[in-house]
Formats: sequence, structure tokens, C-alpha cells
Amino acid sequence: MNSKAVVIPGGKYRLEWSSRAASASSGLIVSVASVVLALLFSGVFIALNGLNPVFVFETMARGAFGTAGGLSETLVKAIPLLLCGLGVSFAYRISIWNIGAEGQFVVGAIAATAVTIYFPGMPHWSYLPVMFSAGALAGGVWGLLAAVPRTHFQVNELISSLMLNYIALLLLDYLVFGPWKDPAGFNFPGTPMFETWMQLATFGTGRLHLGLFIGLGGVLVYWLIMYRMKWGYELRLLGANPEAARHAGISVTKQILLVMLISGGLAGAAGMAEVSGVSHRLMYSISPGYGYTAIIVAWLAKLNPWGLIVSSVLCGGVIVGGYSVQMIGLPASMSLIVQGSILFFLIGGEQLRSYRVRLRLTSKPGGE
Amino acid sequence: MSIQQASSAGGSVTTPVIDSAAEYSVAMTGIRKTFGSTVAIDGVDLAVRRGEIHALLGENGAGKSTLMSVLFGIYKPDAGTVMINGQEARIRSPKDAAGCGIGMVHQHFRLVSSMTALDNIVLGESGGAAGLWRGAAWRRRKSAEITRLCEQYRLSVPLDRPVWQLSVGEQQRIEIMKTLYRRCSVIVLDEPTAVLTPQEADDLLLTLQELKKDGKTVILTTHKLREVMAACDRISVMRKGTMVRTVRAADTNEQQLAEWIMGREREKAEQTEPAAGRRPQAPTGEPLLELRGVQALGDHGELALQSFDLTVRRGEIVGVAGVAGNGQKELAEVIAGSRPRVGGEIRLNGEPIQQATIKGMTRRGVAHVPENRMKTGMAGALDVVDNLLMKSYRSRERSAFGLLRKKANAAWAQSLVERFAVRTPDIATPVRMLSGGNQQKLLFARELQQRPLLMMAVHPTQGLDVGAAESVHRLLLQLRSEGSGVLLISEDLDELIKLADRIVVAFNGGANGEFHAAEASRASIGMRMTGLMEPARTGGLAEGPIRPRTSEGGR
Repeated sequence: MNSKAVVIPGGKYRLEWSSRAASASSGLIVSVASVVLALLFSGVFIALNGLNPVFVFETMARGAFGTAGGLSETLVKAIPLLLCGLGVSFAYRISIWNIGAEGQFVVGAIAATAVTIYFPGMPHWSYLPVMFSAGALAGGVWGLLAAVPRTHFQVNELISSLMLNYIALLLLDYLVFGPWKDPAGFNFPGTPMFETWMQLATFGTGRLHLGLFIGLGGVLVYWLIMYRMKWGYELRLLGANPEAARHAGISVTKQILLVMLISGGLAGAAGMAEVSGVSHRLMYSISPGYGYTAIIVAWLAKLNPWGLIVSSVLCGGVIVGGYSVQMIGLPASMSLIVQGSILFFLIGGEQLRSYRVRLRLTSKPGGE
Repeated sequence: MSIQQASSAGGSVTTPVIDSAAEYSVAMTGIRKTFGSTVAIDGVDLAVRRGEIHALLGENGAGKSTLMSVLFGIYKPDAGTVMINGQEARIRSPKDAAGCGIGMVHQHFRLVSSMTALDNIVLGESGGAAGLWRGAAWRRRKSAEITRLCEQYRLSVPLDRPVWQLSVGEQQRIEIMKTLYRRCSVIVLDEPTAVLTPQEADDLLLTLQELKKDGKTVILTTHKLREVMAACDRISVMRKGTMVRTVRAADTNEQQLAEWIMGREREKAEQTEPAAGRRPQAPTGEPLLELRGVQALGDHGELALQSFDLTVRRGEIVGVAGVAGNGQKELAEVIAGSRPRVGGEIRLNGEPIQQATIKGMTRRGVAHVPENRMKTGMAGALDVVDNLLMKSYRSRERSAFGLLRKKANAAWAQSLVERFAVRTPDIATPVRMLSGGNQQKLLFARELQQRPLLMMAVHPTQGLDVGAAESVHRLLLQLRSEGSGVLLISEDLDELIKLADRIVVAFNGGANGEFHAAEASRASIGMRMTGLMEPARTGGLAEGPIRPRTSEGGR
């Protein structure tokens, strides 16, 4: 039908492509292939640095998954990725392109910390639930700040949610360098350490904390909503055909607001879990880009609840692996190259999925 | 070289033999265009004299737009030749057409709404090296040049305002200015009056006279007879992809034109046997749906529905006939609750509806088979069960405590699929994999299982094969015999005559006449559809000579 072709320079082969309906099964193939291609692609950069790519990837894998300590660290990174990934998946389900998880994460962390600073006299048991609620609520409101302009003034949420990230990050800088700085902290840009009752419990000696269960619980709720609940049906319908959803009596505006509240809320909860479970204080650059990596996590999982668990652990492993290659003389930003190329190949593969591409011998060899 | 203008129908009115091709600015011969297995137009000839206003008349789907798209290089014809000013022209793209001096004003304007009228007019002009710097001086020069053109053709166009602020009539004038600015000698207007108010339409016809005075050739496609008689020199009538004939406007009348447009199927239609189960007399059930003076705005902010009256009783099928774009779409949307009503009243089952919402109308028992099933009726990526659930997932049988009853719904979907004989591999198949007929059956299954009081079906058999269309018809008749009211909006007159107890004709956003099944004939309905017979309230043209244009276009 809609078929196009180009002759490859040299004239011997011709590349033909025609559109087709994307098959459901090819989704997993694209995800796996993107990871493989991303490793090959970043291998080129490692080789250019004069190192053996196989050795470097082996070091990364061993650092991330090879030891109990490494695995625990990987899971620590996977928790915020999973929660933020869940958040953006909710939004992407109805084609709302929330890329503001980073900002929502940061305001969640700020709000949770605010509870510890401004309400020091509450009963000890009440801190964690109140901090959690404050973080989730703040993240949700931050999500709504991008959603309301979208629903009421047709402002593109891609841009507004991205811009809100910078506002949140600069607000964080202001607080930790300014009014909230620990007076006894030798000028370190961070708040005083949380009291023990403001911290999420950790398992054993590692840093792995209770946030893991918040994340896994989130996955379960996400699955329940999407595949079992009436509301999830409305969201699936909205994602598949907004016009049909409107004709089924679904208020598109209401759904967008609700979804962005929850999407931001999950990222905000991740921010709370990070300050309460890992750093035990609010500090400068609390997030190494969790909110952005969450976009990769969501697409790698194809928005599937169980896939989110796998992809968040994988991306967490890439971050931790990135730290371990520093020992052999590569910058930790190696992990950013791997992450970036995964997303690149994912998006490319997603496009190719809806085409049939064939390489053919041209009928007249040599051409003109 | 001379062209013999073939009149395929070869009727009583003979067209003059053409002596010199140069006399014609456009001469198309033997044009054929197919889309897949459908023949859109076949063996069509069209000859347009230099400096005349030539109308191309015909129903929707008669092939007018296809023919004009061939002329403008949008479609490549399968056969036939096009000659421009006596020279054979190979027009393969709109750019080629522009090179031949052909300009087109599309029904849906091709304007950039955030740019000013001036910028839209000069858009795409290369202007050579001198045109690279578009500073204030260049702007002044262009503005003066275009203003001069506007005065010459007596067109009022506000040049410095962004297009989105302008009325539909003004936007159309910009489109005309674009063709004049490019010095086109042939100007094609596709359904130019479809979106205009009567006053704006009168203005347009005056503009066309100005163009003619200057020696431009004008071709306009339309289905409104009155405009044609008022403004055109010669008229070509198309029907079902063929050219019926070309006549001088002075040699014909509206009656005759209407017959050519609709075809000589009056006798046949009158002989049509009443459909199975039809009652001999008009039904006297209690009124179910009543519309009084209902008004609604169209997509362009025009008053698309101007005072529509309609009654549907229990146990009857009311058909709404009409050429597309006469308010049927807006009528259906107002009743479905998806388009706000700006005036008039709607009663359902005797109860006045204050503000119709989709949810509210569904709850009150209005089922809706929309015009474009895959666009508004179904979600192609979702499976059969999910699509069946669309209207009923809120009910207690389908969901409880916020959870869908997965097992019960699967069994329910399976039973519906069987009852309505939907052919699908299984109920977990995405509906985009189903054929059009099976998609439509699925849609009917969903709408009918709620036991609707009123079924509103819009073009329900469009794109379906004969067998599938037949089963849709059976479903509608069965609904009627069960005592529901059916509102059937269709462009297919045969379908309406076959099924409906009464037929209401939509014209210019109002109900223009009503026929009982016994007295309905294609010709009489056709005359109402083309506005040939209409109540006195409509239109400026009915009241005599065209009024001079006022300075403001006005809405």
C-alpha cells in the first residue's frame, strides 16, 4: 500500500518499507533489541577510550549485580526509578507526555523535609505517614501545575512539565544553600540529618529501605487499576481513542487532571522515600536524574506493570555499574551514554515496528 | 484540431459542436479515475469556455471533486487528456496546475491561521533574489500591489489581521486573492457557498461576475440549483461518476436540472414495494423525540443548525435526507449530547432536556451509531469485550465496587457476539482486525443491548457490502417492531425510501419538507434537497435580484 523505497548508494540493493499494523508481540523484541544495540553502540565509545568494551560491561555488571552490596545498591536506585516510572506510565497510558517526574520528585522530597523542619513536636509514629502524604501531595500538585494549563488553555504539557523541573530544582538549591542549611554542617548544602523516627527502616546492614515495598505495592495497584478496575478501563479507552471515550461519556478533562495528580504524586512519594530512606536529609542534587531515567524505565517496560520492575532494576544497575567503572578510568557518565542510547534505540524501534522493511536486490544491477 | 464534445446521455438538449479548441480554456476528455476497485469517474468530458462561469452540478459522490482534483493535479487520471488553452497539458501536481494558470479555492481553506491575510497571499512566492529580504519596504510594496488588486475586483480583505480573526467569507476572499495574485486565468471553487451565510454567498456571486468581466474563467462545483441559475453561464451535470450533459443556463430550468442530478429513477422509486413489516398508515405512537427550533453552531462558528423541527414517535423510522453539510452532522451531535445547543428545545419522552450531555442521553435511552465508527464509535486497538463495554461498563451487571466483572463480562460479550453473528476469531481480538461489516454489527450489538428508546443511526451502511447492509436494515426494522423510535440519517435515498416511515429533508440547517413513505419519490425529495423548493424564510436569493454588497462581510 503505502510503500516507499530508496536505492542504497552503489545501486545493488534497494531498501523498501511499507506501513503495517504493529503487532503486540514485537514490543518485547524491541525492548530487548534496544538494550543490546545500546550496549554495542556505547561499546564504540569505550573502545575509543582505549578500553575493551567486554571488560567494561563485565565490570559494570559485576558491580551492579555481582555482590550482595552491589545488588542492594542497585535496588536502592531502582526504588525511585520504579515509583517515578509508575508515575509517568500512568500519564503515558492516556498520551499525556509528563516529563516532569524530576521536578515532582524534588518537590516531594522538599515537602517531606518541610514536615521535619516545621513540625518538630509531632508524635514520633506519625512522622512517616505525614511525610509520605506531604511528599505525594506536593508531587501531585506539581503535576497539576502542568495539567491545568493543558486542559484549560491547550498548553503543551511536554514543555510546561519540563520547565517546572527547573523551578523545582532551583527551589531546592535555594533551600539547601539558604534558609534550610544545617548550621552545624560545615557549609555542606543540606539540611540537618533526620531523627531516626523520620527515617524509613533499612534491611540489614545495606542501604536498602522500606521504600522497596512502597514501589512494589505501587506496581500491584497500577496493575489492579489498569486491568481490573472500571477506572482503568476508562483510561485504556482514553488512551486508545479519546474521541470514542468522549462519546462513551468520559470527561477527558477530569481524567487528565486525575491522572496527572497521581502521576506527580507517585514521583513525589519517590522523593519522600529518597530523603527518608537513603540520604536522611534534603541535600544538594538529591536526584541524579531519576525523573528523566524514569521515562526510559517506562518505555523499556512498554508501560507494563511487571515490566516496570525489570526495567527499573536494569536501569538502577546501569547507574551503579557506572560508579564501578570509575575505578578503571572511565567517567561515571558512561551510564548516561548507555541510558541515552537505550532510549534512542527504543524510540527508533517503536517507529520501525509499524513498518515492514525489506532489503532487495535492485532489478537492474548497477542502476544508472 | 477540434474536440467533439460527447454528450454521453445524448438527450434532447444537444451541445454545440466545438470548432476550435482554442475557444476553451479547459477541455478535459475521457477522464477516468479509479480508487482500487471503485470507479470514481469514467469517460468524463468537460469543456469550459474562456471567460465564462461554469457550474459543475451533482450529488455528493457524483465525481465533481474527483474531476476537479484531476484538473488541479492532486489525482493522476487513469485515462483521458487535459487541454489548457488548446494545448495538451500534463498536470501531475498542484504546482503544474499553477504553472498552467489554474488556481483552486478548496472547500476547506488552506490558510495559516496565525498569519495575516497579506502573508497568506504572498506565501510560497519565491520572488527571486529581490524577494529574499522581506523588510518594511517590501511589505509596503506588496501591500499596495494587493490592495490595488482588491480594488480592481471589488474584494474587501483586511490585509493586516491574522486569519483566525476573520469571518469565513473573508477567509474565502483571501483564497480568491491568492489565485488572483498568482495571475491564474482559471479559478476553480469547490463548494464555495457551503460554509457561507446567504449574504456572504450573494457577495461571492457578485465577485464571480467581476472575475468574469476581467476575462477569468470560473468553474464552481455545487449542489445548490438556485445559485447556479443566478450566476452561471453554462452548467455541466454529473451523476454517479459520469457526465450527464452540459447546457447553457438560459436553455434549462431548475426542474430539469434536478431531474438530471437525481436520475430518472422516479418511477422505479415509486414502484418500490413497502419494506417487510411496514405499516400501511402513518404510525400514531406517542412522540418520543421532539425537536422545536433547535439551533447549534458548526465547527467554524457558523449557525449550522438554524431552527430544526423534528418528531420521532414510538415504533417508527424517521429518515433524514439531505446532501452532506446541510446540518445532519450537527443534528446528530446535538441529539447525542456531544454538541451544545444554542437555541430551541428538545423533549425526550415528553420530558424537556435542559442540557444534553452524552452520559445523560445514554442514560435516558438514546443509542447512537455514529457516522465514523472507527473515529468516534470504537477504539480499534482495544479488544471486542472492551469495545462492547463502552456504554454499559458503569452498570451493576458489568462492574461492582469499581472493579470490572471480568468473567461475567467475557460471557456476556461472547453471547452478544453470537446473537449478532459477529465474525471474529475470539473476543480478545482487537476490533481493528475485524471487517467493516463486523465492526458495524458489533457497534449495533453494543447499542441495542441497552434496549434503547431511541436509536439514532448516522450513515449506518456506509462502506458496507450488500449482505452487511442488509443485516443492518433488518436490525433497524426489528427495533421499530419492538416499539423503539429510529432516527436514520443517511445520504442514500434508496435506503431511506426503503426503510423510513417518514422522511425529513435537511437543507441549510433546517427541515425543508417532510414526506410520508407513500408519497416519497426520488424527484420530489431531490428538489427539496437541492433547495429548489423551500420555505420562504431561507436565503436572500429566493427574493429576487442579488443585493449589492455591503462593505462588511458580516456573519
